[in-house]
Amino acid sequence: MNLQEFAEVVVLAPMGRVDHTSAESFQSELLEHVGQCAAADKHIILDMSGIDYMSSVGLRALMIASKESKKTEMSIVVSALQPDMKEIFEISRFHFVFKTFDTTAEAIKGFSDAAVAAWSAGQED
Amino acid sequence: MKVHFWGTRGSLPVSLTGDGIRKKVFQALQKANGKQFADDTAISDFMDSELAFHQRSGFGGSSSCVEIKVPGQDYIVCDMGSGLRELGQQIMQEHGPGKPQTYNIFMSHPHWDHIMGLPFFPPAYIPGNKLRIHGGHDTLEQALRKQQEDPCFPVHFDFLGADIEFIKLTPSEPFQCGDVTVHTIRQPHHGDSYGYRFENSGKAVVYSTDAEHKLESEEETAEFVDFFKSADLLIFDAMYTMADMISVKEDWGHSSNIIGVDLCHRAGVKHYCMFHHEPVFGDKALSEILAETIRYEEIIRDGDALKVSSAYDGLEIVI
Ligand SMILES: [Zn+2]
Ligand SMILES: [Zn+2]
Repeated sequence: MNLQEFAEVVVLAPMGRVDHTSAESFQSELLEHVGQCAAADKHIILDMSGIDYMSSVGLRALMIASKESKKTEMSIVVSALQPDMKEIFEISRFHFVFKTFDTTAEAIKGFSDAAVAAWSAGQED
Repeated sequence: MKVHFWGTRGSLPVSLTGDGIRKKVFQALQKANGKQFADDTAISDFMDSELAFHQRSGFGGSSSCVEIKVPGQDYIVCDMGSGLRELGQQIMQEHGPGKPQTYNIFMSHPHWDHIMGLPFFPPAYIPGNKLRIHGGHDTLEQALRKQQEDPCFPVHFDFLGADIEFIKLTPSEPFQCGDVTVHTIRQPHHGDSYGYRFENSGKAVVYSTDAEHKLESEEETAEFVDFFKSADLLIFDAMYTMADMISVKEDWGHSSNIIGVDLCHRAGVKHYCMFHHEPVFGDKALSEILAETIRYEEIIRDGDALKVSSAYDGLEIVI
């Protein structure tokens, strides 16, 4: 999954479909990033714009990531859900598990000025 | 084959309160306001077309009991939850005490909500009737005796006049029940539970309740995909929402609506029927969950469409 850093915020952008054929690698990659970000005092925005759909195994991976993050100070928020994924989040009640934002730009505003500045600079490039 | 649902609620029987009935009547009157009905048929048609299921009807509240009807075969019943009482009433009307019958009962597990119907099943008190109670647990007889012991119940198990036999089933050893072949699988649940696959005349119905599919290992998941393979109907423990199941209700022994859809897709199941409903959910909430599950199936579908329904007391599905 694509990774970009903006001050204390890491934007992770997974791609494609997450189902039983791909969930295992999705989960291990996600948890690796969660571990690294927690160790580096960083927070994660999961930019889901590249995810077409996710079945229950994928949601399970997200829940494990959420549980891991709660053991530390880090926060994980979700942004840019596509319409189908937004519905899946509501159907599975995952919109109660993660704070969600319509866009990554909205999500970044919840973090420090430094993060917002770094993000804005990145958008101008 | 036909499948008749006598009890579909999980954990504890529930009943609609007067207030709940009042709400339904209120909504029906609201919709009918100003309308004229030529006859009774017109009223029925109006109810079926204009009122939602949760307004004109409901899911009922009896706990797990499902009858598998196969022409020319003895009774086959999955679990003896409180829904068994109503099946017993119907049997008494049909046969009276004079015509002995054989009842093949298949027990998922001895939790209370799955055994509480037996003391209220009139055929169990009638000499000449046979109850053949099948299951994977060694503790079935003990559980059924205990629930009819002092100080919990006045009529002891030994007072049941029918001939009662216990038959232990072993997973992966097919069992012949008349012309019906029964396969058994052990399921993850507190103290284990067992799921059953009933096959007859090229059709297959799977009864799989009280199972927590954690999706932790592909090996375990694949075993269930194999057990459900191409089933014409899967009756599945869809008690919780996905987020609840794997957070606050983790290790409570139940699965979620969308895990059922995913397993059905992988197994090529034709009809997915949600079962063991959460007692907290009312008729409207259960209807909404059904609509959401149908929508999830649409979004996630990659091949043939899967029929999705939600069991209610009194539902009969023809296979
Ligand atoms: Zn149960
Ligand atoms: Zn149970």
